[in-house]
Amino acid sequence: MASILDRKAIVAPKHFNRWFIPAAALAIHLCIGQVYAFSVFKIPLMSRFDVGEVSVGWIFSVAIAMLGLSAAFGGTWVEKSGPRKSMVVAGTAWVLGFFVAALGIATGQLWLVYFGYGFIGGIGLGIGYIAPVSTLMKWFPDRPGLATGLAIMGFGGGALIASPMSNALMVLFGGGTETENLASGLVPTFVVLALSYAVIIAAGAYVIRLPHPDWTPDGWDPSKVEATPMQTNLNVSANKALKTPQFWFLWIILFTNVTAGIGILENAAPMIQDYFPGVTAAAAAGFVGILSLANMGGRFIWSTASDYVGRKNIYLLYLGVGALLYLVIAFFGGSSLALFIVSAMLLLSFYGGGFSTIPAYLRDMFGYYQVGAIHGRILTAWAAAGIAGPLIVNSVVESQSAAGNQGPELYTLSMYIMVGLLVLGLIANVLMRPVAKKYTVEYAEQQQEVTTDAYSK
Amino acid sequence: MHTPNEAAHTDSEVSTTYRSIAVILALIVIMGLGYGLVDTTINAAALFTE
Repeated sequence: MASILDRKAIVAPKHFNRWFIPAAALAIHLCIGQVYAFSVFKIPLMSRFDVGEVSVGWIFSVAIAMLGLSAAFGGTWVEKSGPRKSMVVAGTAWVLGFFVAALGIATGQLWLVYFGYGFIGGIGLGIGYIAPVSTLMKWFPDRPGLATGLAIMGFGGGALIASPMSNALMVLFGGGTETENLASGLVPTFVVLALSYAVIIAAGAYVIRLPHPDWTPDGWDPSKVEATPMQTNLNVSANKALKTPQFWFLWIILFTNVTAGIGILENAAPMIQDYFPGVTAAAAAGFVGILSLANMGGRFIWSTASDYVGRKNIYLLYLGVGALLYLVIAFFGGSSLALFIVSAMLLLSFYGGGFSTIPAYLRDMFGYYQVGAIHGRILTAWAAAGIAGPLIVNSVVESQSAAGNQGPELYTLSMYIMVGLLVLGLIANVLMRPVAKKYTVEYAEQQQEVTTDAYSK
Repeated sequence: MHTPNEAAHTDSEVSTTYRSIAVILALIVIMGLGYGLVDTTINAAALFTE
């Protein structure tokens, strides 16, 4: 039975303004990007449940793990079902997650918060992350980097909005800024956020459209794409993509780039205070804010630039210059605050750029056919990096601290490890070549025709 | 990837309701991002003023 959620219900007219679509894509990413602002709930939740940081930290970890798993396993379904149905499912899971978590907070059941925000909400995160990306790429075949940059910038921007908004709501409902006030404001804050996200995601799902089969951007000639050596007009299925070396090279590239970025992001505040003991806690929080802006800006700027300089070249920048910047911090970081800040900002902009450029790189290698599903599968690199990055930096800091070292010395070894990882990613990127034709859908169809002809003779 | 059937179900132009919701959504997105950017920039300024 036909449904308003089906792909065929959302095909746009032949003449349609494609600039309606980024708002719909950004809307869902801005909502689910709230997950990066989860830390604002940490202390109130610890107070409400009378537990430690680790117990509350697991809520975020479960959500991110579910993001990776649902993106990897739900990617094919997202491609088949289309963006509207996917956005509705993602939005429902995300909003339901908030309600279940609110129930858990109200009744003092921490497991309900794990299950609600972490498990159910995490499914919404994974589906919602990949749903609008391939749609935007279909609307911007002439500038896929801009398209993915726009959508994935929203995920970075979600935390920028949710963090001050959540704080303001907890103060409003809790009647003060003390921890117990914030804790008592948790339930209504979760409910208000859930209702806001429900409205915004529903509007996004209403606005989202797929391009008409005969639509092309004004003045764009698809035949020009063939002239670019690292962009294919052929298509590879998600299952076949896993059998290509290119998929695994890209997995390594994403893993190394994200690991290197997370290494700084996770420890930004203590790191700047260890390098420069005169920096206050408030100023360190300001440094975290600057890195958030660099992360978000990098998602849009570098991904858009990749349309002009090419995906392989932009990753040479992320990985090659990134490795040099880590060396700059390791050798000279402690000598100049300005040098430290600029280097860290550039590194975080490369981290953001790596996230937003990867779908366009996948499109260049594997075509449009199942790019959403392939994107979902490669996000397992993000989940792995989310564990590896903090683990490397925290383990090194602990071991150096136990050895009696302090200040910048706490981080120097982890900087070298990050340089090594980035060089590994750089090698994988240098090895990238166009995908062999034998993996493409078109080749399989051609082979089938040859076989059919042979039998019919 | 579209089937010919998909094209058959499309309207010739978008409705006023669609256009209005799309514009309101775009405004919400722009205002939200603006709010977040201003707040973060104010906090970030502490690095240079503290």
